[in-house]
Amino acid sequence: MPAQSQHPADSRAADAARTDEWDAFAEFVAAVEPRLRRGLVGWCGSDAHDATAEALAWAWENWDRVQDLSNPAGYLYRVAQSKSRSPKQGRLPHPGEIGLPEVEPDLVPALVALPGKQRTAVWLVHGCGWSYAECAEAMEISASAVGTHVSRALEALRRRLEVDDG
Amino acid sequence: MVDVTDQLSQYATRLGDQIEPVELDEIEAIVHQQGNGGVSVLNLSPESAGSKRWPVVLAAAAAALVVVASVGVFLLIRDDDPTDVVTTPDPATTVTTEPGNDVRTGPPPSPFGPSYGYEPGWTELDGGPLAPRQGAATVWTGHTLLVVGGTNHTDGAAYQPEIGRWRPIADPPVAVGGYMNPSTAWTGSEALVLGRPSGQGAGGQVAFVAYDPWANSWRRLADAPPITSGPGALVWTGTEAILVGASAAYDPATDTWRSIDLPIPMPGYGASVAWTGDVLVQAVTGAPTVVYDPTTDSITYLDPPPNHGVDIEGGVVGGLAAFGDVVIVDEEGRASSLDLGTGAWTAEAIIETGSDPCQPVGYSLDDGRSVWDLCGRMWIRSFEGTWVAAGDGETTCCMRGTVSTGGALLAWVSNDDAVNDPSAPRKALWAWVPPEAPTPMVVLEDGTYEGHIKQVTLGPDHHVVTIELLEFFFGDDAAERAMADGAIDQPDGLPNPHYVRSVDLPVVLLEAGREAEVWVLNDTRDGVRLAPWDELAIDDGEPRGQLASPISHFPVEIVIEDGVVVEIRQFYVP
Repeated sequence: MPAQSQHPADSRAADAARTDEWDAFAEFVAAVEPRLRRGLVGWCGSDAHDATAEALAWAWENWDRVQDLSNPAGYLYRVAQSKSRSPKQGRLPHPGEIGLPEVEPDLVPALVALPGKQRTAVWLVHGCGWSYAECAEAMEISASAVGTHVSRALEALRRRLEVDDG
Repeated sequence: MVDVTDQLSQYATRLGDQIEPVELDEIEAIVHQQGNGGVSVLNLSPESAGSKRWPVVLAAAAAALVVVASVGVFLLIRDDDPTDVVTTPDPATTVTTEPGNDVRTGPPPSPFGPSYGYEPGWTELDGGPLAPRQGAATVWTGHTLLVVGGTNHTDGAAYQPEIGRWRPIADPPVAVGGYMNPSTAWTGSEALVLGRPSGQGAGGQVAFVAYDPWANSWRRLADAPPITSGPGALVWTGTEAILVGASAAYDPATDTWRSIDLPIPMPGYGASVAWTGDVLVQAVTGAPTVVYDPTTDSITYLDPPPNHGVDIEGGVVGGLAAFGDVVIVDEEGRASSLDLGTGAWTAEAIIETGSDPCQPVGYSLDDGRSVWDLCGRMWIRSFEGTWVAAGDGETTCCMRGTVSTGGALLAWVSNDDAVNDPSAPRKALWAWVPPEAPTPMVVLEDGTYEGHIKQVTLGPDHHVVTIELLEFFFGDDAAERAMADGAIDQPDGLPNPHYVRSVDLPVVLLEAGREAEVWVLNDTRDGVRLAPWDELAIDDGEPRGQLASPISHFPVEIVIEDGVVVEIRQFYVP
């Protein structure tokens, strides 16, 4: 938990400090939550809500440290994953199921067929707009390795979808 | 022209928007629920978050030196303690690597399934919101345990072990569950669940439904044909669900059932089946073993399982689990295994004697072991066929709906039959985690490999080196490779004069001979040079040299001869 004042006579000041911290945390959540949720949905599907909530709860409990992180979304992505070492891919629905008939139906099977690291990298970078550095933090690899995985993933997706937009 | 990146962005955005945003009060509730102890996160702290980042730079005048004594567990120095481990192991993964490395794995596929941080043995968890009942259908979806239906109840709930929470799910359109044996299957996207039989015994069509956890919705499928023997067991083959006891297979792609040439098992033995990945094996002692190949719809009959010297007449209920081979344990605790290559059974062990007979149930773990539940008495079988008792737990296995997560078992135990169970009504959720598994080793072809030392485990007969396989490139070659991989756009885009490339699924465990040579970069007044490890050995309490980098930042070449590590050489990365 964030540090709290131990001085009994100064409880109002302590409360104010905690309120300030909570306000700062609320701003943090507003900024990070959507990106984290979108990142995690590619990993654990419909469980992304709970995974995001759990990671953000951890963030509050470690707020002193988390507020200084340079890539909080990437780091909290790992926090969410560390709750489970499950390698299993959450279900990704058919684009039509989520009202995207214009998206290639083969996109999902092509994504699922990718090796795990390639899938994660291309999802975070091109699906969620994360930077290579954020993605590197999330995957515990170097930014250059992220680039490698993204490149290979795009190549495989294009091959699978039989397109050439690159 | 389709723009893949744009399509991916659209899809990810929409999918993320479909997930309900997390509100502050929800975060607050989780924090309160978990108390000041907080959420435990394995091996993570912001300080260590970047500890594995590339590039690893071994500065010639390395300031951060590690005293030899602190890492003196390395090869050739201390080999007296077989339990010494330098670092926490990563979940091991094997399968394939870059071309040229013929990786022959040990028996288990990997990665290992999760055990969610539970201690080995049984742990009682939150029993959830459902009222006590018998015969609830249980399914493991890869992330979540589904519990639904059962006698006198229709509702269901889902338990997510990652966060330790239950949530209610939609009611199925028909009554489900009420069976004593598995009557569910997970297809990878939906849970298939048999409807509850009307009345006792065999009879008419059986309702069949599918649950989609993503949409939290059910849909009615084509009714299953009558189950003419046993309670019915569903076996998912990857494309079809075989319904043992009805000699039929369901194809989700067409929502149709087809009749298959699978003999109806003897009454009461419907659950004694195993799916090996290719064939379904149905076995009871005292009767021919049936091997069914769904691709050819053909049957092969093999000898009955061994009787362990006991005169057995007729079938004896047993459990089967498949993991490359097939194992049966009968109700008296007699264990046997089947080699599908030769078609021969081997009597392995009598793992229990004198206990009350019960129907064992076997579950596969992702590390290659199988775990057997004999009415709460747990046994583990290693891949090599060694049986080890693993403690007792709940003793009413028949009231359980148990699933394997790959790394643990989750058992929902419930009963509302106070006539036959004085402790009823009751319900509980239990997790069972096996003792730590020996990690499989990988055998690489002879040659020299590069990577990062992750861990060294010293054993009485050999040492085990865990290494993250990598490829290192320097100078012009580095830029060329990085460009080819798409890691950089410009030839001068590398931040360092080297390029490190990951190998797919890179972490492997290698056997190292006890006499393996270790060469390390020794940081001396004269500069950094490669020296035999024993030059750094402690002399009169003081190290004679110092490692030029911590062991966890240990880029090395590993030389393998006859499948065994014979030499480890640290090298310099500019």
